[in-house]
Parts: sequence; C-alpha cells; structure tokens
Amino acid sequence: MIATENDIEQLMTTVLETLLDFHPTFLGNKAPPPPAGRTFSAVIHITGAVDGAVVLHVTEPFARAAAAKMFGVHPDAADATDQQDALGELCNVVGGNFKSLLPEPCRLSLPTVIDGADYSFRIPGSSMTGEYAINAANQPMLIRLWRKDESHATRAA
Amino acid sequence: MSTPTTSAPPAINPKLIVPFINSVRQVFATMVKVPTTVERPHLKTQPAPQYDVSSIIGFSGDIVGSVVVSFQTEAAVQIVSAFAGMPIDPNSPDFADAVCELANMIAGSAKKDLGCNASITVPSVIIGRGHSIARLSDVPCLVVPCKTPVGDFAVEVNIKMNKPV
Amino acid sequence: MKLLLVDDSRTMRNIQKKVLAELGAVEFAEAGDGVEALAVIAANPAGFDLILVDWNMPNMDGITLVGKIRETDKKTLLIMATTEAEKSRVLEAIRAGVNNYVVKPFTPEALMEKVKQTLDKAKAPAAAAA
Repeated sequence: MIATENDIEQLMTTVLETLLDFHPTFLGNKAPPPPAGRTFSAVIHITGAVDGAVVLHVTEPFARAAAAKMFGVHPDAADATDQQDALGELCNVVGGNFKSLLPEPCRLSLPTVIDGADYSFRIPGSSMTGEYAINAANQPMLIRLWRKDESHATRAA
Repeated sequence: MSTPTTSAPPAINPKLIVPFINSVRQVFATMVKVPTTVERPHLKTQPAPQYDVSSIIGFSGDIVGSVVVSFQTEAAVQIVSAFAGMPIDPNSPDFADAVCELANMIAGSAKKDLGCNASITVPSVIIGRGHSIARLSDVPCLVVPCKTPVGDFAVEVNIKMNKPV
Repeated sequence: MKLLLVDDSRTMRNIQKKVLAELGAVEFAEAGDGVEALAVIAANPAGFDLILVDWNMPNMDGITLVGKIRETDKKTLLIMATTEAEKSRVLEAIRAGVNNYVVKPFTPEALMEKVKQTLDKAKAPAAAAA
C-alpha cells in the first residue's frame, strides 16, 4: 500500500490548515451520497514509478469558501475563475504532498478542474485504490486515489 | 495568497500549439476518416464552454499541463462511431474507451512533434451533460475548435515548458 | 492465419480486426494487456502467425511482453503498434525483438502494408532455401 489512511489524514490536515485555515474532520472510507447541484472535481495526474491520479471532489460552497480564504474575497464575491483557481491550487498542493509518499521518480501534471452538476469521472485501465471522506468548512469532501492497474487480474477480450 | 489582478493575457508559445493542431488533423484523416476543419485557436475565456463528454490527458516532464478533447453527446457518438467503424452506444463501455483512445492518439502524436522529454498520463473520461473544464489561470489555455460534418468538438491545450524550448 | 491482437483499447482491437480481415482467412485472438496475452499464448500451443502489440497497457506493457515472448520464442512475428514514435522508442522495441513497428494514428492501408511486409519478409528466407 502506498499510503495509509493515517498518511492521508495527516496530509489533508496539514494542507487544509496551512493553505486555507480549514480544520477537517475525517469520516473514514464511507463516502457520503454525492451532493446534488453543482460540484467540482480537481484532478492531478502522476506518472513515473506510480501512474495514477489524485482527485478531490467538492461542493460549490466549499469552492467558494476555499477561494475566499485563498484570495481574500467574500465567498459570495468569488467568481468561477477564483473557485477553479483555488481548487486547482489546492489539488496541486495535495498532489505534491502525496507525491512525497510515493517511490521515486514520480512527476505531476498540472491540475484540471471539472465543473458540473451531474457527471461521472473515471480512468479506464485504472482502479480506485483509496477513498477518504472528510468534512471541511462544513462541507463534504471526497479524496480519491487512482492507480493504473498493475495486478495480474485478467480481463475479457 | 494575493487577490488576482487583471493583467495582460500570458504569451502563448506557438511551438506548443502547432503539434496539437497537426495531430488532430492527422488522427482524423487517418483513423476517423471524417473531414475535419481545424479553426483558428483562441484563448479560453469565461464563461467557459460546456460539454457533455471530455477526455483529459496530462503531460509531465519537460512539458507540464493537459490536453482535453471535448464534445457534445451527439457529436461524440457520431465521431467515435466513425472511428470504431460501427455504431457505438454512448452508454456502453466501448464509448468511453473510444473517446479515450482518440484523446490518447491526439496527445501521443503531438508529444512526438513537441520533441521534449515528457510523459503523457492515462486518459480520464468525464461524461455528463453541461460540464466545463478549467485549469490554473496563470497558464494560458487555448481552445482549438474543430468542425466535422457529423458534429463539432474542441481540443483545449493548457501546457507550459518546464525547461526552455 | 492466426493473429493475436494485444491492446487495452477494445475500439483499437476492433479497428485492427476490421482492417486485417482483408488478409483473407484469418482467425483472431485478443488480449487487453500483456498478462492476458501471455495466457492466450500459453493456451494456444499451435502458436500465432503474428502478434500485434500496443506499448502502453496496464498490468504488463508491450515492451515487457515482447521481452517475455522472446525469452523462449524467437520465431513468432511481432509488430508494435503504438503512439510512441520517438526514435529512441523505436530502437528500444527493435532491441526487445519486434519485427516491425507501426505508429498510431495509422491509415488502414498503412497497417495492412506493415503486416504484409512483415509476413512476406518472414517467408522470403524459406523461399530462398527451397
């Protein structure tokens, strides 16, 4: 296993507290039902000794709160660009910290942020290796770790 | 972190964009066999365009960033069916697979012409009506609009050099 | 003729099948990654006339698969079909033991040409010896 639940908890606490002054609580691996309405998924890919991705799934209120903290604006004044930039930066920092847990050498892409109301996200040929639910800024947040399949599972042609 | 201020758009390096334009043309000419017109790229602005199907491929190494190939549903169905040589149901796993394969070839073919030491990631796929894709605003994102007789699509290129060109 | 198509994209395998069906009486086997390919090879003791291999696949990539095949089999024809087009990659594949290399995207004609070229080249020494 690359990262334990404790590793992820420590990582997310450090990042959210230092970057956004959020104090997360951890809900274990029980993902809450997906929230209704507009959500964001911030993705950063990893290549090298490990091929995969870190994905942060958050709500619009979280995005506003993050943008407000990061850019010193009122949450209601945080526009789409602010929210997307805040989530992209958050994902960048989480990805960078996660990379330090990985065997070397690994490299990161730049983050992308998906903004929508009802969409699915997946990485064909990869499996979700970890899912962690947290509460931050009174909003649910899901962290998902994906890794390119390396097991010896056979697949139907 | 300081509040973002309005400033001149960041400069775009044509050496990073031309390979993707050529790659789209080549992939569509050889494997999709659908006449494709690549229109003039433009900087992505707000409000961002919305799509129904997107595939993201990341770049890391001497180049970092991502390229995203995005469609509306009907265009995606027509184009991937043309690519596969048979009708593809948008609800089938083959649909996501075909979308990813197209994005993979566009990125892979461009990577060759970029001539740098870079890796491309496995493709991610997003399916859902009316989503948009954003990146950090300090790296310019170029939209390359593409038109075909069976529907339009866009290739969004958001990459920068880690090392000098 | 028996061909094995190894690619994690089912779409790509279907495209290859469609093109190569033009060769005539062809029987196709498929695998989604290198691990599965080795299992298919082991289950077919009569062997394959040609194996088309993608480079980037989960579980076991194409270059590793080529190496594993060549540990015990120097004869089966192997073509790498991949987006990896840099000269260094082509050389790496040749050193691993492929007989030919085709870069994606390819036209149906280009794929067919590479396959025919590879098959004909393999027959040539036998014809010369006869």
